[in-house]
This record gives sequence, C-alpha cells and structure tokens, in this order.
Amino acid sequence: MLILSRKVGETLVLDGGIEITVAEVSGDKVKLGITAPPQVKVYRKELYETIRENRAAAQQLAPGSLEGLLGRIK
Amino acid sequence: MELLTRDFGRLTVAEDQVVHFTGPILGFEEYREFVFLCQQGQEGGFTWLQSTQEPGLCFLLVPPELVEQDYRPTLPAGTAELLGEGAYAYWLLASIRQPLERSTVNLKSPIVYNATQRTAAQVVLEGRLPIRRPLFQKGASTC
Repeated sequence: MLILSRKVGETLVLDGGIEITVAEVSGDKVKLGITAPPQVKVYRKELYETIRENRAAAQQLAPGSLEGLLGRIK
Repeated sequence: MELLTRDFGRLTVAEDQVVHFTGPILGFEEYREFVFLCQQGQEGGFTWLQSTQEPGLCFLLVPPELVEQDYRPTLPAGTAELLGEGAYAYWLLASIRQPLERSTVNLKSPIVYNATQRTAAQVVLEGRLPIRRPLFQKGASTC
C-alpha cells in the first residue's frame, strides 16, 4: 500500500481526473473532499462490500445446499 | 394475496404479512416489499426473505444467535426514524457458497426488523464487524 502524508487542505490527484482533499482532521476522524468525473462511483468501502455481499446472498441455493446446511446446524 | 416465490412455488400470503423496507437492502433499492417465509419446525431458524415484487429475488436469513452468542448492535442515528417505535429484531443475510464451508453471514450490515410497524431496513453498523463471517466456525461439529 502506498502511504502518503498530507496536511489539511492538501490534495492528492488520482489518474489525472480524481482529486481527494483532506478537509478536516478531528481525533480519529478525517473528512475528505472528493472531486471526480460523474461516471466514477464513490462508496464507503463497507457499503461497497455490503452491496457485493448482498448480490452474492441473492444467488439461488445450489440443489442440496439447504439439506447440507440444515444437517450441520443442530 | 397470491405470491410467486423463488423457492416455494405459488403461495397465499396475508396482506398484513408484507414488510416494508423503509431503508433498502443495499444494491436492491427498487425492491421495498418483502415477506418472511419460514418452514415450520425447521432447525436452525433460517428464514427466507422473499420479494413480493420480483419472484426471483429472495434472500436466506440467519438469526444472529446461530453465529454470535452476544450480538447487540449499536444502531446508527436515524434508525428509529426509519423504522418507527417498537421492538427490533435482527437478521443476518447469508451467502451460501459451494462448498458449504465457504458460506458466510454479514454481521456488519444486518436487517433490522420492527414487527410492530412491519418495517425493516438494512443498516451498516459502526465499528469492526465482519462483512463475511464464516457461517460454520472451524472445529464445529459436522455430524
């Protein structure tokens, strides 16, 4: 992982079109300002991973899975 | 009402059994009406969350007690406004994979259900909670 130090008000530029600015630091919280083209979707990682996990959870169970699950939970 | 389900064919469900998701299941924002379907006498307490709008949309829910003895989430601000007054119950969305050992539940983003108002929401909790917690712990009995 690349680790860089930035002060409040300073900015990183990603891939030419995405800017991340440190807006505020307070205790263990950092507020970031993000400027990006409209096609770039920005998610909090836990939301992004929850969406991905929800999609996996919506998959139909393979035949026999349920019986297998129930057999393990007593 | 007549309901076409993904896993149980056609069922008749009372209108007042419909649960309204005031906070969406993330990634499925357009689906807000679901019913809980459970099989009588089934072990493990699994429940199916079936969309009333889309027959093919269904989730398997697991009671938290099955994986965590003491699951007492601190709900984010605004949850009471979303769900209204009442007693809240928690359900975990399960991702069942093959082989079954790879199956997981999401402790970070439970479904919170208010039986009094028949409202529900998926909430993303603060703090370090696993999004993919194995449904079966290592060393658990497999017989």
